Amino acid sequence: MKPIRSTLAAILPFLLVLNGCQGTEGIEAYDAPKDANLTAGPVVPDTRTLAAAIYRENATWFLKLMGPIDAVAPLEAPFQAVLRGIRFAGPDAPANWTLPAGWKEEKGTGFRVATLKPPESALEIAVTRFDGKAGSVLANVNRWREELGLEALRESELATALTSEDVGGVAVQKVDLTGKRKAKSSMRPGMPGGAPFAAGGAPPAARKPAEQSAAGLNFTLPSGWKESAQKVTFAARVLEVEGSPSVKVTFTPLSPQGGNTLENVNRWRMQLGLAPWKQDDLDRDGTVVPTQAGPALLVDLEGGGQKLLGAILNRPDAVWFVKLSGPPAMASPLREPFISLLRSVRFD
Amino acid sequence: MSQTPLHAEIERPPANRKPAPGAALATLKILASLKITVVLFALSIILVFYGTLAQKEQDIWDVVNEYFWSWCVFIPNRLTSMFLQIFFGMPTSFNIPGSIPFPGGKLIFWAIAVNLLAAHATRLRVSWERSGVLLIHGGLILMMLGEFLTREFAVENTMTLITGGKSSFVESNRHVELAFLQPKDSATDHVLVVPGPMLEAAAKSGKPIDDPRLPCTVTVKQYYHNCDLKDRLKDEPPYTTHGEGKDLIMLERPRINGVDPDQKVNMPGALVQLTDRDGTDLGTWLVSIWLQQTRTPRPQKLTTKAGEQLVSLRFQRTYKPYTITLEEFRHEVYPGTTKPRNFQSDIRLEDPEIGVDRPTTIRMNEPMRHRGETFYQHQALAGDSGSVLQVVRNPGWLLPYLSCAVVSLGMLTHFGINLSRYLRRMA
Repeated sequence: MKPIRSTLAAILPFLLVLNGCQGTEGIEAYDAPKDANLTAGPVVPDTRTLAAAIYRENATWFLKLMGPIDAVAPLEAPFQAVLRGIRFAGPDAPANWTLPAGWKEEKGTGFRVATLKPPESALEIAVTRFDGKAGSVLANVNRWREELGLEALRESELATALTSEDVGGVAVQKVDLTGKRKAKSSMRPGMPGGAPFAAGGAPPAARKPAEQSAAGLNFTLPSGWKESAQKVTFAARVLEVEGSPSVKVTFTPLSPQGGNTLENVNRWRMQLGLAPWKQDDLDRDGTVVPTQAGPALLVDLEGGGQKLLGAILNRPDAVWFVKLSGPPAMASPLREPFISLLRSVRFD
Repeated sequence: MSQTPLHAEIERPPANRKPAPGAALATLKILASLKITVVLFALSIILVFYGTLAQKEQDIWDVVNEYFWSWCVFIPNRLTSMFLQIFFGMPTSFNIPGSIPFPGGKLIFWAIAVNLLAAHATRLRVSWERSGVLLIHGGLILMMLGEFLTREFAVENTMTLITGGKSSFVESNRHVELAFLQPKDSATDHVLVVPGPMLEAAAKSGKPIDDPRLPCTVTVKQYYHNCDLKDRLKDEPPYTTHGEGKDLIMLERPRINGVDPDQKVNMPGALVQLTDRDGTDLGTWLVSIWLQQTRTPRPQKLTTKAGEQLVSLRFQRTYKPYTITLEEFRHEVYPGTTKPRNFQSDIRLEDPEIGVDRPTTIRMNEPMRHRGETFYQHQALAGDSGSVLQVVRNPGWLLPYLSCAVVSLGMLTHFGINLSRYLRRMA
């Protein structure tokens, strides 16, 4: 029996250790020092940024002056003067400005249109231009804040950090920030980082989660509607409406990172040649339609001889864009069937 | 003429051992079967295969728990379908429904341990000739013991430090807790924490968490392992009645998986209904790791009959007897590039209990060791505004090295003995 006893003797410690180590978690109470790490030593601001964004119909203009606080102070008045002197000859025309006395202007390359250099200072005003809407105001303000190590703001807090000024009939959004300038880190915490610009154009390409989401999409077709074999993207589904050959209905899933609701609605507006909306416009004219998969935001847009009924449905794994487009005469009567289609949307 | 194979060595019946009588020995002999060994190895391979596939959809730690540290796992046939779709061109509509029950890692581990020990008890005798085999088996047992110690006792946490700031706690980003903080004096808070699994269980059962130590009853209306917060549109109904959640909506996101290149950790969130001890409704509150991590930390103020509290969902904390102050953080790059050359935290370590107060430096590949813990330079905060240290305690860290050395020595010994035997025969 010795071998059996020695075997048991060898196994027993394993069994004892294995079964005794899984503790249970419960409510705990203890005293702890206050969050000392949040009360970091005083950060002495050393850098100041004066920046402005001008949103035009087809372009976004930025002016930025950044440097040591003491060096920026004497340049504040000239910066404001340049800003107030900006004029646009037309909706698509480039910006013109008046150079302060003694300043020099150098032509830029790429996105930088010009560099305005003051006398006896190493600083400069950078004038940049981007096609279309280069991110929301919030995204750009937070980009400038991040450069100075400042916390990102929420939409509701934006008004406290932003000054809006009418310059020759054009709205200029201005910020004046001070903080401690840091080099960009390439080693970020395990949190989603922010791109330099928020998604302003088309959202990024659909990713795998969207494809998975597409597999579960289900809905009830209104009478006379049928599903088309046509494929727009891997995950999209297309519907046809009997008697309305020019009308197309599409279901398109995109990654949840594909821009916020306002940016996507403005993408549609841009396609129809309409001016971009502000959040207040969207809040006023958007309609929430309850679907079986959660609330969808519906907008009804018309421009450039086209009507577009667009709905945005946020799902955990994808953002769904449901769009009906076609000539107004054909598309307008389809609003009610489209809404009933939306109400029936579910994910099995 | 030839070397004796390892298994043949094991299979050879014992020459000098007195047979143990009866059913016990017969049972041991069955348990010691090499056929069982082969089956168990095959099962291990299959388990590792499906455990690897599962990481396409699940977090690596969920997979470890579900597949390798469990007695039984239900392997979804979806994984097989996915494998066939990706590697053998099956159509995406090809989906095998259901799942297959399969022995988990824990069961296979114990079965192998029993099989191995039974083999030693019934077949293997201790002799110099078999010393290699014994060493190999001893090394394998040591390896399994190392994994067991790591699993049970190793702790990996992080300490986040803002330049100029200090900290005396570490956080586990795999676990969360709902914390109520009541100011006790100017330097101390009285803290009550409800662990994440309890919140999750309460969300499933619908039963409130009612503990006399808590300042209020907590009913978890929703609990998401991973979520996102979005600004609420004005025509959307408010999500909560109190706190930061009034302007936000919480969207569930899929849990991160083992191959996600972007998000590294789950960001849980919960919608909780709080009720004061006298039954007064304190409203619904949104709590989420997001409120603590990426926006300005916003402790939400809650007024109860027991006094004012700060409520938050945070990563699970462990307080330490020492304090670390980040005096400077350096991020150096190779000239003309953005490629990191060095991340370095210049810190001051203060541990009054054991009389330590010294400056030191932690940089890439140069960790600091203190009180059995190792502090590695882990990450930089956005804008290089601070540093994240990884704080690791693993009492079994030496065993994998030791076991590999023992197994290697065993193999060398075994083949050495056989080689010398072969050479003697040839002479």
